[in-house]
Amino acid sequence: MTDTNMPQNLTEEFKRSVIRDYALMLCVPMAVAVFIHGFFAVINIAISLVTCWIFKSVGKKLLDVQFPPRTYHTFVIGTAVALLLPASAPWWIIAISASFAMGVCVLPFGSPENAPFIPSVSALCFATLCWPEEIYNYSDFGDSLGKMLLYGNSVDDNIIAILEAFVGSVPSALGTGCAMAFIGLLVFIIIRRPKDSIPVFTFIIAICLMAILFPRVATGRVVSVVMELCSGMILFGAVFFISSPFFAPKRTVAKFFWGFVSGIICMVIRYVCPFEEGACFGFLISCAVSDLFDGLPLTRKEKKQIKALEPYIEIVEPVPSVVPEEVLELIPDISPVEEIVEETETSDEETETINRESETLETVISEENTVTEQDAPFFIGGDSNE
Amino acid sequence: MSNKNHTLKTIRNSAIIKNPILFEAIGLCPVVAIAFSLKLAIFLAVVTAVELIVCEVLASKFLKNVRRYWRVALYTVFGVAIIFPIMYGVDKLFPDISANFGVYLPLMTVNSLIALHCERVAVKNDVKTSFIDAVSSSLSYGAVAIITGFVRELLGNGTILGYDINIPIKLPAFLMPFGGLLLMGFFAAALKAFIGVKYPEANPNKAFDTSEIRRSLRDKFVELMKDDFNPYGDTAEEDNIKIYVPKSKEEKEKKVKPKKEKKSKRNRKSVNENTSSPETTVVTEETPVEQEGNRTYMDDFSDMLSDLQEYKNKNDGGGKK
Amino acid sequence: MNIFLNLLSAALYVMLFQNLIFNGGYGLSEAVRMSAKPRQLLPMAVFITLFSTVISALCVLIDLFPLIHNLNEIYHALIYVGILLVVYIIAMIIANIIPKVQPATKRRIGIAAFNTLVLAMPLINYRSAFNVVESIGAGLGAGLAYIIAVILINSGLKKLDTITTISKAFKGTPAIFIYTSLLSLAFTGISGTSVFI
Repeated sequence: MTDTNMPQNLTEEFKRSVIRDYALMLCVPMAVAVFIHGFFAVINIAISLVTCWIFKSVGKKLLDVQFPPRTYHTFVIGTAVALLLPASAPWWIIAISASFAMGVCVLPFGSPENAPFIPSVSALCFATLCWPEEIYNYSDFGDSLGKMLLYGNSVDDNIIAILEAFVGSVPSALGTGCAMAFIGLLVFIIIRRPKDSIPVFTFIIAICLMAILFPRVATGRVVSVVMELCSGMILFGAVFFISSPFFAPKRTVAKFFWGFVSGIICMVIRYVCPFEEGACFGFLISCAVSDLFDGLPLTRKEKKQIKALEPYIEIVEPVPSVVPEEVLELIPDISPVEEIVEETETSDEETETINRESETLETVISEENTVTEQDAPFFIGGDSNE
Repeated sequence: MSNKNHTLKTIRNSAIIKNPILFEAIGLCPVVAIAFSLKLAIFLAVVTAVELIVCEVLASKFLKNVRRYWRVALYTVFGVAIIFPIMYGVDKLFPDISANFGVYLPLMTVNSLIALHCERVAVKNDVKTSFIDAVSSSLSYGAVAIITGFVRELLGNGTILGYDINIPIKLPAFLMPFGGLLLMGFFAAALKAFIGVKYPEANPNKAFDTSEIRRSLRDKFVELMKDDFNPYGDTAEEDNIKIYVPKSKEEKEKKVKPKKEKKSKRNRKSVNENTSSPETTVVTEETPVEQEGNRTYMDDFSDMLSDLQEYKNKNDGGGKK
Repeated sequence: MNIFLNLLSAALYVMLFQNLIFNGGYGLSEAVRMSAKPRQLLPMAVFITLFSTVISALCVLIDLFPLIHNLNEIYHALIYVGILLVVYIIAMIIANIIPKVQPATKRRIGIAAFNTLVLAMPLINYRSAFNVVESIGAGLGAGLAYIIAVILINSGLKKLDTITTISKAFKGTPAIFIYTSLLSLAFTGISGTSVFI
């Protein structure tokens, strides 16, 4: 979710808008959950939200954790935790999971925006390891798609069964069942943040490819794709986690490959893990490897952009805190201010050339017009720690 | 009285401020993997204490004049001599403990805690100091292991020493290595908060040097191999070992050596009022780990100094710019 | 082909499905400490892989002798430690004979030889009844598991280094341990449990 690794160069406004988007988007699976499960959904979400709010207050007072104002981190984390758990989960599982999400993934790192792993997914992983039977218990409603895939069973090979899986008329967690809703949310992301939808598409393509090449059911590859996509938290994760700009790599090329690799990781773990839903562990591993994709070789376009921005890049070197006296003695007796003043006295010819160069650079930048607010700060800042 | 203070300071530093497991991240394997019950944690603490004390005392007594590369192997030999009789006895007397320990008991022979403390303290100090360091380190290690074991057993199984406490909620994930690491993270934070209040001048962050994390690993293998490697935090210029050093480095060392001594003395005076002679180094705040943290800038400055000195010598005759 | 598949499956098992470092805690100290010095990764990984593979192979070959095969686990462990010492001595003799070997390389050999990850390999191979090919694969997998662990933890350390909002109490090893524990959580979920005890 948004409560993950924050790239250093995103503006506060952008962060707030992303988190508000997620809060708005979460209302859709919430509404579906309440429609299907009724009062249980409301209670579960309320328990999760109250627990998160308690941890937020404790964190603010004891650890000075920063929750940025006018953002909905607590709402987002609490709702996501509740939606990833089943409706029949006991209240203490929900409370402990929400406590884990806040207490382990958020508070130690000082801010929900700086958490290195997705809090809600980490909580689900923890709950899966502790109580796998309770987490995947849909006994009142039958076998979920995930369980069917685990045992090699399949839905019927007809359009009605496929539509049922699509619409969410199958046992699932509280908010992960209705694939149709997630497709609508995906359209929302494409409109609002087209670049962030790139990893989502590559993620879904990877899932489909794996389902086609290595189907777990014998009723055909189409059924395999539908079942894999509609089961568990694949679509929920694709829409809410893979699309998160704080969580994904910074470069567009890196996002493209990272989405694909995340899809493959999630599917491989699904195939081998003994739990009904292993994709949550795959999302954690994707979190850990996202920064590595930013180290991919630069494309021609990116090299051009960097060249255009080179005059504006300040390379910040680490300055030692203590300068020994021996070094100060050996430095010539000119004060730094005077040096700078001397250097800025340029001739008229030099100022003319500088003006000409800046004009050409402006035209280059305006022609290409590919450096956005999101990308430019990354290139300007480079690898600086600030 | 000053001896007592000195001893207390040594204990405080090695047990609390430079806690081997929580701040130096040494000896994690047994605690993370094995200390999931109080019984096993107590056993682990006792075995580690015996091994560490015996190894440090023997290293301090007999291994000072042995080359470092052979010392490392001898620590394993000492470990074998201590651990294997214990293994044999435990297998006969406590088979359930032996079964729970699994492969981890023989792995105690190569515990990094032993090698690091022997190299850092035992071979550079007398037997008494080594004994005190061993006792304090093993106490701190044991305390962490026992608390971790207690909490993991309570939360994971709902038992203490095998007796059921009837806790309504159990968290079996804490019995796995993940649980051990997580708890150690929180214990380290709690200990750090305590140190911040009780000993505000101390800096436990220096026990784990993260100054090089941004250096790239993308380089030719030969260049990577040339990087210096000091796992125990002490200098590369070892006594009684002939080191192959490239000529350019030798020259620099010859030039810079006298100034290095001056700098170190000045730094000691400016940073610490208590000065100690280099021959009787003990585990105090002025430990090699701290010096290593300063040496990164000092290395750069020593190179800068030599370059500036050359520039000055060149320009003294021709006049400055 | 069968040999290659056996080797690959053993290596993958030890590397991913039962990652020795995150699932078993073997070599965790070395991984965490070396992740703070990324330039040591490749040299250390090469030496650790060499030692773990050689020792795995030698130990499983020695186990073929009936005299040794019939001994109990304690004597097996003793023999494995002995083999480790012999291999280290041979490695140091070779390092001393070659004139251009630097002291840092010899120190690396010491750390790479005497750690829980390398010594655990023959013990795990013995308990899992791996054959020769599988043991060699497991030894190779141990080195690769070490590389994966160090890269992932180093990536986390870089992230943590840039976070300015971490409170004083959690800055440094506490945050590193919590980060590593979440990585361990992810790898534990792949298999569901820890098998190598």
